[in-house]
Amino acid sequence: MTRQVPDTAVELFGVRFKNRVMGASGTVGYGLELLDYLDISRLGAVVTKGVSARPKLGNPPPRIVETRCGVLNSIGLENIGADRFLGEVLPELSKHDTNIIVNIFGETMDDYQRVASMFRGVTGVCALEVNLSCPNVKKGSIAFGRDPKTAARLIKKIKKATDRPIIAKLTPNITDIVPLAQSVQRAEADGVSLINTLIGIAIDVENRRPLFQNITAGLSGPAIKPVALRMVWEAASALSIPVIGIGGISSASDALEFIMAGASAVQVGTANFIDPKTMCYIIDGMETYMEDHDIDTLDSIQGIIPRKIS
Amino acid sequence: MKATVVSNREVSPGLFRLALSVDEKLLAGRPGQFVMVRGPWGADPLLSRPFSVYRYRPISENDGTIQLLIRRAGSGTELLSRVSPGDELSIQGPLGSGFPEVVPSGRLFLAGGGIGIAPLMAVAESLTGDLLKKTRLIFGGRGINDVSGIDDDINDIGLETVYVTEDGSRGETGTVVDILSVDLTPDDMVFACGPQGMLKAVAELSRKTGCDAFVSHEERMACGIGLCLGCAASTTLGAYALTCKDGPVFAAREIDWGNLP
Repeated sequence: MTRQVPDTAVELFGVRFKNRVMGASGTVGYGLELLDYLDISRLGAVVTKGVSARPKLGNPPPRIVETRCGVLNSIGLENIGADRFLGEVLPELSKHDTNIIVNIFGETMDDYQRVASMFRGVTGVCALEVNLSCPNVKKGSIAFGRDPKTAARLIKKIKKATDRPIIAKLTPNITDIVPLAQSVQRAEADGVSLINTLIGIAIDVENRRPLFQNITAGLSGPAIKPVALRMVWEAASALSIPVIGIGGISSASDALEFIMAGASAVQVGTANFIDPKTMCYIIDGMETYMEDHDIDTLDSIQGIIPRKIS
Repeated sequence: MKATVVSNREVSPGLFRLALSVDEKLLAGRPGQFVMVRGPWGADPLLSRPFSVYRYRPISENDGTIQLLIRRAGSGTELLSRVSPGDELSIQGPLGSGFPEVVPSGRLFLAGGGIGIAPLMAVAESLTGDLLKKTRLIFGGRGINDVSGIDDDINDIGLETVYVTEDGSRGETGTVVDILSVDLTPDDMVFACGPQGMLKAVAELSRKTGCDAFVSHEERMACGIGLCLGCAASTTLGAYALTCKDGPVFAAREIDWGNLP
């Protein structure tokens, strides 16, 4: 008997993804930066660097500080703006057979609505991921993303401005993820992705100063994986819309943990900084796992971890 | 890609010369370009470490080898200082811009502060004929330990070299910039790498004298390949440049030194 080739594809919010592995926003540039290192048509999706209606300069250096098994960053959402993205990047990126998810943000709710509307009817963009969770900017983003009511109001506003599915990217920097996740689901978000970075600080003891000008920064990498996994498990248990798991994923085994915790798909972030091919190794490793365990589709193990111990 | 350690020698206390067997693409790199290196040490330290290539044509090594000059400073360089021949490392490169391939009408000064000597030695070994004759190397540091360990390479390349230390323990007493400022003319050109303060002073000197200067800029870096936007350098155009892709070598006048600490 010949074994069936496992079906790695998945359909989320009406969009077909060839596999469940995506490059996370802020760790793959605009997607084109990956081309020297891997065939991006292997990826389930590329999630672009956060794009705003107008270009944004970002934060002054230093923007990166390494920690044990992690990285603190304070990039500050530097980006080229939606016009240049649409004119210069998207035509090139669309030549590749992968789904493109554009991460969007603004300083005000109107800004979010404006940038979302700029992608209305644009071919080649399969969904928008709404950044409700960047901890490194003074206005917008996490300022809207910590309060369930405000987040819902923003999601509703964006839904009116776009014809694309929207994914709310949630912050872990709250007491309970469930009310926030439920609130954006009620506001008709088509999916959620979590977690964005955990807020941290690094201090230079010789100079007795914080290393970052903003004092705080966002922690990512393997160090945050257990926390991310717990929050994905909590959110997935409470939601009917797809949950995309993010946080320290560096191996197929990490990715499978997120699927078992309830994620429909995963995004790989900081691991790309060490080797962007990691995403391909994860895709291969997940397929091997399916073959070895005679699994036709990961649906059969998705969310297999129970909500409560019986 | 993989690189195999060919040799690793502590050439002066805390300073290591690491020879790596690498592929053709990396061997074809240009002076001033850099590599991202890590060993098989899991998630701590997490990130690869950037190093400018020190020599593409090292003496007393086989063909197909490059050398890095590594000052032991933190956890990554500590681990790299302990690798042995035969060990495998991961390496990405050549990355970034190199020093420009221009011939000044006057002299070329290679100004290196401490470990900043590394990319300048890659420039030095690439020079031939007239340009080699009109190039001078200025190698400075706080004390003799900062400017020791690579005499064999300097002799191999055969460049006229001035040593300068702040405490006078080797060569002239003073700084690289003190030496450089003696008789710089607008026809000369400076390639510099070293501490920020030194590069800022080189930029100022270049502005005053009207000679072109190019600096290899250092910034904290996560990926080295333009994915994270972490290695922003303030520029005089008001925007940030990426040290990894737009740099690490910049014209000194492109950098906004006022924004640097």
